Amino acid sequence: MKKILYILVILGVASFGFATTFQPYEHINLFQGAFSTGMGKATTAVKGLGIESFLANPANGSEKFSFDIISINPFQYNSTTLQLLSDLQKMQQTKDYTKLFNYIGTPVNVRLGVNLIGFNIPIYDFSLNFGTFATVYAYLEVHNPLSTAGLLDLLGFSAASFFVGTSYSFKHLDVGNPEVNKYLSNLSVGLNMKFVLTGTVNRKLTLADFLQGSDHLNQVLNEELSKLVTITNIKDLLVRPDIGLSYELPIDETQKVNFGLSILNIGGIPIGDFCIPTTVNLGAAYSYDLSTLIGNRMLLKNTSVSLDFHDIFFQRKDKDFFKRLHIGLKTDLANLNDIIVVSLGLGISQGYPTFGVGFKLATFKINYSISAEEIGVYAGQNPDVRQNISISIGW
Amino acid sequence: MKWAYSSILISIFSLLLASCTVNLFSPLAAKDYPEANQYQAQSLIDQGKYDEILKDPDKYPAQDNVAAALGIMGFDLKLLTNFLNSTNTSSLDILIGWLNIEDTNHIGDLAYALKRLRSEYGNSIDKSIVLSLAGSALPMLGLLMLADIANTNAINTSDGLNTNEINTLGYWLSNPPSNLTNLFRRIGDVNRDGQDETIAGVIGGGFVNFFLGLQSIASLSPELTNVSILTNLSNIISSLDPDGDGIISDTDVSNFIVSFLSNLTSSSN
Repeated sequence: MKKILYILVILGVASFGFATTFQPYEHINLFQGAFSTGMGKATTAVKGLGIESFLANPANGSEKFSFDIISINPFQYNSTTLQLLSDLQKMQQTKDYTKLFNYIGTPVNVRLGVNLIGFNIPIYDFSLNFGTFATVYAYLEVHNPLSTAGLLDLLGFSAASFFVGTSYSFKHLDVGNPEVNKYLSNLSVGLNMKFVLTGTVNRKLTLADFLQGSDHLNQVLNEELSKLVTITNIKDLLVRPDIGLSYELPIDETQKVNFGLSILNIGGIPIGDFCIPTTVNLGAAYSYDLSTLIGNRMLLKNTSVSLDFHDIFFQRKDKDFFKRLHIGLKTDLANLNDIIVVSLGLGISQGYPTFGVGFKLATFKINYSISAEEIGVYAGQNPDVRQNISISIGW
Repeated sequence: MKWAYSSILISIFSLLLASCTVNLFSPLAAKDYPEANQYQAQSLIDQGKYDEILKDPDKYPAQDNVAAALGIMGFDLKLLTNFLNSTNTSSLDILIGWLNIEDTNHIGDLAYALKRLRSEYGNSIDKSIVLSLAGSALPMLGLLMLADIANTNAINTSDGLNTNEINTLGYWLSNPPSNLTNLFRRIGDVNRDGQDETIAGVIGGGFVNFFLGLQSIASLSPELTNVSILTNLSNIISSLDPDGDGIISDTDVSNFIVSFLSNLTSSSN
């Protein structure tokens, strides 16, 4: 009886009106490629990353034919995830969920993206891109009951999307004025139409939910998870365009600077009460043909450094300038006629160093990156270190 | 070429060793503003670093200030986990060991935090305020547990609380038994209302005083008025302070506790 009384006391106040949804400070995107994460997410002005480049900026369609089938990009997780999965099994056996308290203030994050197909088909000055991608994202964090943050933040979404878009290069367009032609020839524009079905879960769980017993907790969790996978209602189809601009400024035969601007998720993508907002991203990339410099065409090809400023109109929840700053570097450490490629990505994302490596063997590609995501209000407040893997078959 | 590769490899390992958690922009980022401080407070409470908040309480939201003051006294998750894992053989000494109510500075911290809370939200209520009410459950728990363990003859909650036991508990608030002197000893006029307070009075009365500041149930948001227990609590609160002067005596506090517990036990039935 003593415990029942105690629980009632807690229930009485804990059910008073906790905010029922979680509004994260993390800059969540619908799609986030593993290799671009390794290069600090500074990809708005970077071409040559296949679908990752196109989804970052529709003007970045490649002039080379490429395709991916059955690609996993990314599988992302943080270190807490594996530990929690192990403990959850034990807790289900013992029905003692108080072990969750060990995870106070430690977020758990998992993201899985699957692309069934993705094509990039150059046609004259156009580049036609189409494909599918599905994403499941989950984030949960346990808090001290005394905290105003609630006891458990649960945020997740699943998205199934078909996209079709094109980029167009003005390099052969003749407007009748040589001067104008000269400037226009460096310009590319792009449009990507995304058709998205989403299932979302966004809830704060209270201590009351936990103390009412494992059956209640299982029921609540199952209800929320069912929302996550229920993406079958075609009436809920979201049509969200992305628009991009790219301007390439050649310096000489070995150097060029590329400027990029993208407007992503126009109209926003709701995730429960949370929303991935329309974001305008700016970027610049400087490319230098190091392979020519060192006299070996197989080494250090496709080298570039890039700088991005994301969400320039501050539509995200926080208003920190440095959380929007991304710096990246990529190079092919070894490239044997695009059949065997070893790529390296380095970067600084929101102030945190990132590292990525990619390996391609004919049609098989695998990338790995490690990065930290800022989940606090400002750059440096609360990093969440995550590992990202992608595997794909394609060309 | 060797130089280039060596440089790249060194860069890779340097960055990996930095373990991705060193933020290079952090020295440049603005850190002291309300959103950031609120997030920081939540983070510190999660980590149990209550003293960090109490060092500079005005920097953080009032409700987190209250939470930190309660937390440092021991009314936090450790109490909960100890309780859930405990047996009925726990002794008063063990319980006292869980709590930290000896330090009157902590009582002062709580009194100050409650004063802030009322000052900032006296005329309105929103979700964030209601959140902090959760903290009030823990002192209540403390009273219950102390009562249970301190006197097995007068109060035995193992078979539930009957009317006599509830009345006894209420009586103790004004006339504490000798083995509960820690909780009911007078600690001076910490909230400067002209009367000496007991630790129990500050904890319980502070919250009661705060909610008395709310004019009526009608001042609450429509969302909250649907919560039945809020209505019950409001009724309990409105039964206090019969002369309407807003001053809560020890007797008022004891009546509040008794009413509160009566409400809970009737709910459990």
